[in-house]
Amino acid sequence: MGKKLKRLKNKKKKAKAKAKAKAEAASSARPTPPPPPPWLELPPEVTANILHRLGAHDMLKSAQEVCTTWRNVCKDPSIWRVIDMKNLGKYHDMSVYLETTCRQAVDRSEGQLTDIYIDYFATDELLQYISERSSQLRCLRLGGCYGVSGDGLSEAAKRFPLLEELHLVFVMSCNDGIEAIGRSCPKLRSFTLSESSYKHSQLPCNDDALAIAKSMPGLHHLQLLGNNMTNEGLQAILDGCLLLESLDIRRCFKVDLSGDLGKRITQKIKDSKHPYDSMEDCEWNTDIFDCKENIRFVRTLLDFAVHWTLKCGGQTTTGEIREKWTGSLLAGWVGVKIERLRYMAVKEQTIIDGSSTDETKEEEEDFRSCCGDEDEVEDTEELTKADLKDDLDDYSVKMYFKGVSIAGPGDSGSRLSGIGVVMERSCNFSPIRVQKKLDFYVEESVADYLALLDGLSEAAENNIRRVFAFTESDILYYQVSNFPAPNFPATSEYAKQLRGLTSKILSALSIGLGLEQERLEKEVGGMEELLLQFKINYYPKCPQPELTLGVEAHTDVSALTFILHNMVPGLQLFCEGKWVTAKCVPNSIIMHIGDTIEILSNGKYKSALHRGLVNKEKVRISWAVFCEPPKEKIVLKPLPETVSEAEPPRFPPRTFSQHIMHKLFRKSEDSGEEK
Amino acid sequence: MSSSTELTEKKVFLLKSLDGVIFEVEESVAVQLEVIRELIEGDCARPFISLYNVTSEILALVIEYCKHHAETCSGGTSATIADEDLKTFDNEFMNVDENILLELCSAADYLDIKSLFELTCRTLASLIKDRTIIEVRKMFNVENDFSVVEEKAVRKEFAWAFK
Repeated sequence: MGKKLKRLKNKKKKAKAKAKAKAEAASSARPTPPPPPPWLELPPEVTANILHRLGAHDMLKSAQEVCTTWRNVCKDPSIWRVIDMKNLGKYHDMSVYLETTCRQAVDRSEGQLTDIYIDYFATDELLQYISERSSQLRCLRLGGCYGVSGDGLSEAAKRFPLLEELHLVFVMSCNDGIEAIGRSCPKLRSFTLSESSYKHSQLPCNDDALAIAKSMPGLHHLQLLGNNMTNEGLQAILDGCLLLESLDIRRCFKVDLSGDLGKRITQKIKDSKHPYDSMEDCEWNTDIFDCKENIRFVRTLLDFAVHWTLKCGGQTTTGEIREKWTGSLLAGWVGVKIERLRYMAVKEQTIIDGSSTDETKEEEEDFRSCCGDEDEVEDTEELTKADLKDDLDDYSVKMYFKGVSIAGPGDSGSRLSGIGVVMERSCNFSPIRVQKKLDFYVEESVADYLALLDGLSEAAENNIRRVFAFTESDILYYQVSNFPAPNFPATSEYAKQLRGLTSKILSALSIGLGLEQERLEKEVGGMEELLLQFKINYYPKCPQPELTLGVEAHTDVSALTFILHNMVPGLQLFCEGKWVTAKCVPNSIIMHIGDTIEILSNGKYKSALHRGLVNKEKVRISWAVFCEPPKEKIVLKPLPETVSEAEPPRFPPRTFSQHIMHKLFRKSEDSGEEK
Repeated sequence: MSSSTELTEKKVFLLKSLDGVIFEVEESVAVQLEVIRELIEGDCARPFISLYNVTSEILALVIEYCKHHAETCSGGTSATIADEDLKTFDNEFMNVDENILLELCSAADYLDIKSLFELTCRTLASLIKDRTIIEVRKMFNVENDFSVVEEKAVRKEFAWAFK
């Protein structure tokens, strides 16, 4: 460049003084020092200002390695007073690394830390680490951190006596710590608690509001987003927090501001946002976190499944799976590998009229148009496809999934969500398709997630063991791959108990057939071979349940199936010619017999034909465990003791996997036959 | 700031760059330079103000920036349109080579122009972001001045993080 820049010897104030002193004396001196690299000439505080904008991670990871000047700037504790570790989603599967980086940043602050922002990877342990070193903390912001508990937060809060701002955005189950936090941090002026709009429990609940009212009287600013509080809770807040200047209760749909309460807010609070106000200018990126929670659910589901297969089955082990599918999202029940699909041949989307009878067709078109046509997929994903070709066996699919959400112009316009999934199989089978119009509207990121979930359910129904899933949603991709696998001690205990119960029931069933006690257990594989598989069914609430079925009528291929549920009725059994809804008895477990026992008993025990319905008001979740015999090892046929001349064998001998194939083909060849 | 402009007649001030070039600016522009505003208030701004740290090339750019901002803000357009306009202008304005950017940043710091300082810092940060260490060095012509030992130490410090 060759541009001269006189060395800045002094800080601004001195410079000003100089300028003043010399203002009258016109200096004609033309200093010409050799041009040094401009970066090194910036005052350190300017360099610090610029580098700080990179965020804690980039400062530690790269900036400080550029040159000694930058390194020295990055060593100064004052640059670490504000640690920003937001939006680091791209470092997927590296939460441990991010946590260690964060600890290092905290170390560098040498106790001067005043503000810290963390998305996704915070844990109770990390909070403890920070709290032990940062008594000056004034602002803490956690986004989408599911590794943080209410206890962890309230413990940490004890060491933050100066805390003025606390923002908790989609931090799960922190709610029970609110009161303790309020008591520990008397200076708290600003508090945010934001829930996902897609929360599992939609019941009115004033716990959060009451805790805030009780323990945070000094609040000036309160954001309660998507909370399930009612007017009672809001009233308590207004009574308890007399200093409130701003109140944001967007998405709190259980609050009614049409009456006096609304007036009171308008009169008392300078700046208020109401439940139905737009979220557009919301500084918390709610879509991402919303989606995150959904992903958490998928991950939970998958991780449960992995865990279960590992704990209960003899066939699959972690080592095997991990080795085979390194770096991908996995489960024993369904192995899922998510790839990003980069193609965007989106045609103008037509708005589907809700009453149209050709919905399915139009949706199909819509879905197609969103996905581009298959040729394009082939073009852009040639590499991946070639890679995968050999991997597709009879139990694998490539799954392309997509959620579509269309909002008509304006708030009053028709809004519609749908999902589409295409699963390509090896050449022996026709593709599996799932296309649904949802009876509720969700944002597209959520619809994407639902498509994935439904696709996985469908895959499981079809006994698919591996899914290569493709998404064009970056958000979904990063989030699925970013979420650390949780550990579930409760699950393994449940597995253990359930395995005991299985033995008891099988022996009772054996006695019922006039066999020795251990006979059925032996026939289905015994302790060594009987595989327990875990599945979680999630039925969103549905305004018009009569129009849809959650899970269509079927019998299970398993020997026995155990079901736990969240006390929302929906499971129905076909009994004496009609559908009967199973009662929800508290503290009970539902058990029914599957095809395997029906075959072994030559039809003396019936495999229960059942289906799952969705509920109008409540989300239904059921946790099902299937006890299945080994795939190939055992040939299932009616036991000789159950066969006589009067009762000839009703089922031909088949292995478990042959039975599944038989069922599958029967289903696809003749759908008129009873499923 | 604007009220004083309206009350008094349009005053002009002379700014002299490091390389001796003299610029004539109106008060509404000059007061955006915090340093100069202080000088004006202290009545130390005559006959001209020498700015030893800013070359004529950079000073011309700074004045262009301040002029545009002064005009847009007092132009009577609605706030949102003015905002949009400034945004476009700022984006265009930042479309210069990295060394000019650095000098602008340094000048904005020295002359104490908050909005320009913020803008240049933000832009510089975005240039560094997502680039590798080597790319950053190349882009800003910064030498790797670590000794072999130091460099090893830096790497070592980070090795543990990847365990």
